[in-house]
Amino acid sequence: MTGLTCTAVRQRLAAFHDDELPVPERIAVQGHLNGCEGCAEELGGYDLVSGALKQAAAPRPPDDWKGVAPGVIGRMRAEANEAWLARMGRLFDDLHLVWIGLAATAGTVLCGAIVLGMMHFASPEREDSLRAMITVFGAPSGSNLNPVSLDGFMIQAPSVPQDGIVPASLERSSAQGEIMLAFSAVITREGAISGMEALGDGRGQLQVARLINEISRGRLEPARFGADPIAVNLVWLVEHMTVTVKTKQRG
Amino acid sequence: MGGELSVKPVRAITWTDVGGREASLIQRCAARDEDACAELVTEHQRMVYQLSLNLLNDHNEALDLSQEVFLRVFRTIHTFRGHSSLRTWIYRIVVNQARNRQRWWRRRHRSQQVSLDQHIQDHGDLPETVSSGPDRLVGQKQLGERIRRALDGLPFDQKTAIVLREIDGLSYEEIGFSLGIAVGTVKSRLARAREGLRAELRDV
Repeated sequence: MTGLTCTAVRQRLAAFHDDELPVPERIAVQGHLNGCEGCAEELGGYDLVSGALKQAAAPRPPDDWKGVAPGVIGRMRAEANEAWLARMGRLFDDLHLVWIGLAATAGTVLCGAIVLGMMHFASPEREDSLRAMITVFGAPSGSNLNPVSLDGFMIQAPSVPQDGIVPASLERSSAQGEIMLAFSAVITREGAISGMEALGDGRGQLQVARLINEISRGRLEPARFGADPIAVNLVWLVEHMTVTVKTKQRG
Repeated sequence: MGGELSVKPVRAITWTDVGGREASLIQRCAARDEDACAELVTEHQRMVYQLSLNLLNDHNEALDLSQEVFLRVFRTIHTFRGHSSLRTWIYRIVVNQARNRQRWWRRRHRSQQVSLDQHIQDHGDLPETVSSGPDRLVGQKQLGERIRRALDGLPFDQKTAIVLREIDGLSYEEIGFSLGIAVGTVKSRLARAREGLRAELRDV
């Protein structure tokens, strides 16, 4: 027996079994085991588990096993083939694709330059100019630049406000021989009347022109889509109305 | 001699410990040399496949995992700094990949898992070990099956530690590197794993 107690030896048995003890301790434990049946039996437990595990371990592959090398190399090749750089490189294998791509890019750049030049140099004042049209197309539907048509179900139509800020008053009349006037106008999101013009018989009449002039100064309740005011295009049909134009005295 | 437990001292491995041939092989693999890659696979595939099979207990899964491991090795070999041997570094990748695969498998097939007690109730228990029977070979096979069942019942970390120690013969230091844990943790995991396995073999 050595100086190690059974408790000290059993604390070291796992490391002894795994050959992880320093040589002096290994010699001391071995010496103790030679004379202590209890500790030797405890070590036998480790050997039993170790032997059973080796027995339960997966069998070694046969000698003629080809292994995974072909599969791994194949997958490596496939990965390299599908890599971004490899795919980019293959684009240049066929130069026709390169020329087509370059031509398409040049065309796109040219179109962009033309549009930008037009936007920069063309006059925005003319409504029939390409710049104005592009600006209108680019504006959101319902904005002042791109008014929408009134439709029956989603829009609250513009109306004359209660406080009567339209300087021309429209009154019912039973007088005979009246004419029916139709106007086209845009009611902006702010309720302003813009682009108002007479349609049909009213065109060119002085009275109608004065009427348009006065009405155009007015302000309506704008049309609404949900809670938001929107600009609308509308045709305003006036019939059986007496229109009294109150021209403010100036000076 | 005192009562304090100690283990034999170890030292970290450096590039100088990695053999010239192995260092050259690693550099060629990092440069995507196909011949070098094939050489590395041929050299380590048995070890990788066997560890995969011991951890996953399924031939096809082990083959698939082995391929994944080598692809991972070649993708990351440029990060290998020689802090361990190449073999231990590959062990670490195998363990990580096997752990990921087992987690994935558990997530996907949790609903199909059946407890051992339920399985025994449905299909009956495996035959008891015949320790002193006439056919010793049959007895050993049954013992192997029992220990295999007990091994599969261990938590993955304990199972990995005991497999690396008892079947692959790795040192505590190497197991610690492969699992990314301290040597003390390796020892405690081994102790718990052995305790579980010895309980299974108590009547042998």
